[in-house]
Amino acid sequence: MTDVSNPKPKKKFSIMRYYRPLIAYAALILLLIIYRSLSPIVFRLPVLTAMFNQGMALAITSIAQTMVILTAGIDLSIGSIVTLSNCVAVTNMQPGVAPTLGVVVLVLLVGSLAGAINGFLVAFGRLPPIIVTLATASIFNGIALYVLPNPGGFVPEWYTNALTGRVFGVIPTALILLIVLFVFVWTPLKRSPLGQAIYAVGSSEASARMSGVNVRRTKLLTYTFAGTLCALAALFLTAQTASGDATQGGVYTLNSIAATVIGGTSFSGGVGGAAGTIAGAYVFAIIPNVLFAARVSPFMKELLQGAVLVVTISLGAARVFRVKNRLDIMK
Amino acid sequence: MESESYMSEAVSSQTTKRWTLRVLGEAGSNRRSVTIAYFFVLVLVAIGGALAPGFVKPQSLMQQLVLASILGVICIGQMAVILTGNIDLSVSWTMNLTSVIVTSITRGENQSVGEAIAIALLVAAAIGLFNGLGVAYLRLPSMVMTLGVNAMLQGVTLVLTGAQPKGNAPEVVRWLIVGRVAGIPVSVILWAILSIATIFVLSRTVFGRSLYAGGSNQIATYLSGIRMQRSLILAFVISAVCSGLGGILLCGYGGQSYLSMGETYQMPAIAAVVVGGTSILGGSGTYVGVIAGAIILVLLQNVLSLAHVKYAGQLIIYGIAILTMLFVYGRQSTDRE
Repeated sequence: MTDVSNPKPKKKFSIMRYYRPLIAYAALILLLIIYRSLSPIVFRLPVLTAMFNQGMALAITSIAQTMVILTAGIDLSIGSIVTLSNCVAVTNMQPGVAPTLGVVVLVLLVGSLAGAINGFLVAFGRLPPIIVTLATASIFNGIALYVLPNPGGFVPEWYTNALTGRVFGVIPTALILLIVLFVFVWTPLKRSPLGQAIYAVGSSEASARMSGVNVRRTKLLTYTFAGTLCALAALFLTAQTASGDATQGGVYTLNSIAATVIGGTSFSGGVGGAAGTIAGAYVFAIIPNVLFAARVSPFMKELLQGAVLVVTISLGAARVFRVKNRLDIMK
Repeated sequence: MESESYMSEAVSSQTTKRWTLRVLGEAGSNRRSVTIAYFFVLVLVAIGGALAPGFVKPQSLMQQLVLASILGVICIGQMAVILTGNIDLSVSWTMNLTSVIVTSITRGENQSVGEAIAIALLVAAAIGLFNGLGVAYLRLPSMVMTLGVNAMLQGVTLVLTGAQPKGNAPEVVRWLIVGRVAGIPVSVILWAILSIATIFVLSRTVFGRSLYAGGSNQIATYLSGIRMQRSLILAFVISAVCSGLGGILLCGYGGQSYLSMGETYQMPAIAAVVVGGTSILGGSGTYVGVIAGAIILVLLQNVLSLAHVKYAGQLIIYGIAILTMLFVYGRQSTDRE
């Protein structure tokens, strides 16, 4: 007799498993088609490079946010860590190559430390992430203002050119960095015990703990690594803007949440990943360009970005109307 | 099948339901954190007095209360939403939009101020309804829903004003802040009335209790036969209307509307609710505590300015203060799920 109530899990490849990230990529392609029809120069190399650069910092911070949201947490200090790292970078950079590389390491350490403080407070302080990171955001922002009271700072020109230009004159450096980040950092991480622990903690913290997952260590490492990624984003942003400003950078907090959600990562944790997030980040970053090409008032930018966010999450709400037992959606 | 039998059991015994709610209410009153919050208020006043003797004069303290009243009114709604385990991130541009509506309809004149305020608050209510419908019926995460709505409101405000809001606050709106009745500022009286109403609604009405119940345990609330979706929507409507009212008060305080005027109220509103002893995860907290939370945040800022702490230092101390308050009473157990 076959057991109907408990069918064997199917191993077959199913496209439905990936439909949320696919929606994000479909939206990105649709947006690019609209953009291309409005402005024929879009796929020329300089414009394409500029486009990759524009979304890069948001893409990296969004991957950081995705990791934290996968653990069913939230990081509201992402923008502040970017700001702090940016300020540390521009106040220490020198014209030479060696000292600048030293500064790069320093900035990555600063970002990681900021993330580790978040992780420590969340994991060992047993405090809700939303309010912890709200408080640390204020602290990091204050430190950034001490480091760089007035906008400015120094960024060597070669550094800007190296990060925002093209390798061999063809491939945008940003694209290479993004691929390296996805293939050599994200994918191995996802398959590592830590990566699996992140998904497990996000799905059910209690089950993860009872299965022997070190929940505290997982959370600490997740927030720390998110901080490292924010520093990386800041290093790219520094090259892009060639200056520092302690009052900017805050936008990345909320935009990274938006990009993560558009990319199909579940807000309740445990489902999603960086692949969709990258598409989500570029959808969000390209909207202003498309509006500009369409000669729409730039004031429509926020309106449209907000609408895209609300519509995308509403698409995920279809399941609410399919459930037979209302209790299922409350878990 | 099993769930249905649970349900009929729960619905049939009304007494069990009442009892459950009463217990939830007691857990929600959380006396210790409220006491600590008011203790912090006294400490801050003492520090302020030590720094500048003029700080403890009634007039100066009343000025602090005026500032706290704007934040406090916004916190009423934010608290209602947080109690249900949700959050409202659309405070800043709801405030801005209502303020812009009032100044652009009245153009600084008193004649149509009543209609202007009514329209502004109706728009706010519609925003709350939209948020609430998404969260309650589509079950969208409130953080993302309200974030998206906030961005849309920013766009609407920019398009409406062409990024250059015109018009000053009419006298009546100014009077809400600078006017005095029996020596007490109007906004403080307004805040006091709204506070009493809030405390009554939260502790004595079915709606108020349902907010606590829904925030503590969604499934138990549903099985108890409480219509949580209506309460959720109402909570979001209240939140948006309170933000709108806060926007109008701020408009009166500044004498005009300007872009991103509400930005400095979003995070403090959440912080004040939490510092006042309300759990950010929902289900417990009292408005008496939140009153202290709003006063603490306003006092902290002004005491730091008195001590000539730079803005950078203010931000750092502000963050540390919130963390300290959390450590004093906000810790959750390891096995919370």
